[in-house]
Amino acid sequence: MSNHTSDTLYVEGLSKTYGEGSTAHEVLSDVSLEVHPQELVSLVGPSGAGKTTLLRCLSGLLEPTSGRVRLGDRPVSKPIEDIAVVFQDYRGSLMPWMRVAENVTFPLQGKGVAKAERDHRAQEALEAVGLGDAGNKYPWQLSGGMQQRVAIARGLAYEAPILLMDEPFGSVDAQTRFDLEDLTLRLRRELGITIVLVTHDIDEAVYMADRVVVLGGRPTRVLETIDVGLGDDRDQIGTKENHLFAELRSHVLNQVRHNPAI
Amino acid sequence: MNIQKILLGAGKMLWLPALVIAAWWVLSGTSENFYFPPLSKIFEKIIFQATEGALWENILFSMINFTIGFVVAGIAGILFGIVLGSLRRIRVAVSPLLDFMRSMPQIALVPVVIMAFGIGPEPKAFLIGFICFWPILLNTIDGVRGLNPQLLEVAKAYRIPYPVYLMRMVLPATLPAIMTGMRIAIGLGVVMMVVSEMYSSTRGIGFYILQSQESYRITDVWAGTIVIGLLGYLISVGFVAVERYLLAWYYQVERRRLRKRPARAAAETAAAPPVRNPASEHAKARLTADKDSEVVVATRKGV
Repeated sequence: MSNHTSDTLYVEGLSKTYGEGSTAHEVLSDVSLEVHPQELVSLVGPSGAGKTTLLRCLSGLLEPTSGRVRLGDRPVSKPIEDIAVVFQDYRGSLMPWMRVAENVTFPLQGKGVAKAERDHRAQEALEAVGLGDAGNKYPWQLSGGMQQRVAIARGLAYEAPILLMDEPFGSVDAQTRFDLEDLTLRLRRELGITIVLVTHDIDEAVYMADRVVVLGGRPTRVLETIDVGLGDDRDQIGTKENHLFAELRSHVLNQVRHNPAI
Repeated sequence: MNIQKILLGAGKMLWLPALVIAAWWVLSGTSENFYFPPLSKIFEKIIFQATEGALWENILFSMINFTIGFVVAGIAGILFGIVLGSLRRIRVAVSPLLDFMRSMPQIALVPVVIMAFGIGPEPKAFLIGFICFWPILLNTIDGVRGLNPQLLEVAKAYRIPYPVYLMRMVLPATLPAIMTGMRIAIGLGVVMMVVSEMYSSTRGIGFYILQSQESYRITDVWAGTIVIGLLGYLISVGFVAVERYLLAWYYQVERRRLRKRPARAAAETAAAPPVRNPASEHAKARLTADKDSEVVVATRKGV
């Protein structure tokens, strides 16, 4: 799988308003940020802050009211093949009438990839997420964590250099969540993918990221961008005991607390 | 499964029907009543009609009409249903018309259609198709409208071509609703099959019953009635088998969901509308007339 890009993802002065006239509701106001190649950036903010709206704009699924998103010098005004999305709700995003392998290869048909190559990529992607032998099962035969790994494999097989993850570990239990976090970090290290992770979990945002973008206020704007100097090797126990981790965590928490969205 | 288990399972299901038939057989055994001949005589008549009479010819005639009508209605209902379910503007425009066609008892069309197009098989297939079309159409529309919006997001994000999205995502996701519509359509279609032949025909199982009645051959009337009953039953059983096969995934998902703690399952129903609950599905099937809120609203406006 080749999941490399040399292009930076830019968000420039992005605003999003829902509705019109007196019922207009501005969700995002003048959001600007950059995601460099092979970087993992967390977007963190309180519930209702429009994180998912921002992610949908990033993926080209939603058109911003003003401002723009571009990858290098290509505009992202509709979904492009360089960006894959992992949705929060794996039940709604995987198709129960297709076997796991088919779920993974399905989007490749649209890309015009030949059958043999599709199967090869699916197997490779499923092995990468530790589900090499689950291709013939149906998604509902797997646990929640495994289903989300299938969704990640689908993104990997798509060979998009950029993976957008919308609260991807929000519907699994704590232990599975840690496993999925570490799996994501490993995949990123091995494959060199660029990841944008949307989360409301501050620990997760700091633990996973090279940079944390804190969103908040009303309407939502970028409050702060923090470089996480925790190095490349993260560990669920060691990293989280690190005093730097504790400081960053408190700092982000303070930001989020003092700028409630609602 | 071993043979013993299969026999035991069949025994559990069949003991009551067997008992009813046995009781009928015994109680009617010495019947002298003109209108209620002994079951044994009716049975003999069915055998006679099947071996020396025109029973198979009549069944074939009826079944060909039914099959053509049902299949055409199925294809048309699914196609139009997916289009109308996806495109709100068109749906709003045609909803008053749909509402009228659905509310009207389609049996009332039998005289007009047969008068205009004759007593041959084509008008009958048309009538059967016409009555089958509505529940399939309405349930398909409902199924498409109840889809999880996430499905479209996935299709867009992964740039699935629109025809592929319809065929491989929308169609399978809507299939449980479509099947509900088809199940209702089968019942209506069988009724229309019999009625259209009774109204005027030269062949068919309904014609056989009516003709026998007109010449006071009561045993034949009973024989035809029982054959119709069996036919309707076999069609339903066959359809359920097809449904179980096509929707294997759906029943598995449902079973797993319901096996969880009830509170969690309920919460999921609220969070994820497309995961259907067979009970509500069934209720919906019975309430076809009230389900399309837009149609109902449109009617109220019209009134």
